[in-house]
Amino acid sequence: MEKKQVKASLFDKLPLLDKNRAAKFIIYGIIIAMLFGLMLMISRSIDVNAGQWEALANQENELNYWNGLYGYNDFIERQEEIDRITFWMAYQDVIFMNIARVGVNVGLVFVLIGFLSFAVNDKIDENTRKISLIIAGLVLFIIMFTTLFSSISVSVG
Amino acid sequence: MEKKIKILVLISIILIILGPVLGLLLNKVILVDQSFVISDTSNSDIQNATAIEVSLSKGQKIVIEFSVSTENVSATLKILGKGTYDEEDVPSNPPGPITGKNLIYSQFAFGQTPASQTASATSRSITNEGYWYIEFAGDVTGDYLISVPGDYVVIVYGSNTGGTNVYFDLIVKIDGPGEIVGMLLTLVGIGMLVAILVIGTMGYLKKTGRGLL
Repeated sequence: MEKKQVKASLFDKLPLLDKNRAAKFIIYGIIIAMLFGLMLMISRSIDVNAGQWEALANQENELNYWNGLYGYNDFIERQEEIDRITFWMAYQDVIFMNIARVGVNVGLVFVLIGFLSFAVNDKIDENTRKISLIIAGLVLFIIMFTTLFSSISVSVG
Repeated sequence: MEKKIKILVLISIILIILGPVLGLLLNKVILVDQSFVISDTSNSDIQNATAIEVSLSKGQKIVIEFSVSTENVSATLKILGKGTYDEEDVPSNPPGPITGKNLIYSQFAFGQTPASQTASATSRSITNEGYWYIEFAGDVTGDYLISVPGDYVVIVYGSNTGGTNVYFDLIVKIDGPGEIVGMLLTLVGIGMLVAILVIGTMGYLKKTGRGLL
């Protein structure tokens, strides 16, 4: 009797998650990406508004001095402290932007695995699997671009 | 268990709120806050002058609020190094000729740039009525304090042309541990809150037999 050789397709080699687990992956992935995205937006907002805060803090510092709450040396100390905080408000964006970038990509990897699992699940109808595969491809495209190119950014105006 | 978590969350929130409040309160520690009556012989004998000893560590400074509001009274405040004071602290030695350490004082003129309202000096005098807000850290360069750790003595002496007593008010405040205490309390509060959140979530998932994925 002739033996039939069945060649494993690329789909068969992909990690296979059941439907429920794949859905959980997608939901958790989206939540993770959203949370890190939110962190990025807050961090960016703090950076952009650092100058505004500095102006307000300096005015308050002068008012406190004029009201006699503290003397000239305390005024100078506070002024230096305001400068330090302003620099940190600007610099924290660098730290949190990189953390957020990693976090968003980790979240997107979860989403990618979830959609790929949908795509390779033969218990799901053909059209849903095709759409899932296309979405997975798009997610991968985004991951690759945001990882390899630093100039891509989202701006909310 | 739930009650315990609620109590811990409450404690951490209290710590977060208490941090800045306590930090502000302990920012300056009041060493002296009282009205003084000294003899007008203090003008000719340093041993009759008011002497308050303060010890400054690196980066620490004192704030002195010195005021007089009595007719015929003239009072002078100087800050001497402990060594100089001990050397000069002999009977019938007038404190007037002794050169005090450099200090800075502030004048709170609303709307004017603070830098132009302060100047260094070695003493501050008031006749009849007046008020000086003085800052001292050991030495100065221009209008800025230089921190010179060590022991110092704040002396006040004066005269009264219509009597024998010299009246004045003095508040001496020293930099306290407010900043560190405030930051520590806030950090402990935030740390507790994060730990409760993480441990609580893990405990809940373990109890219900659910994994994250």
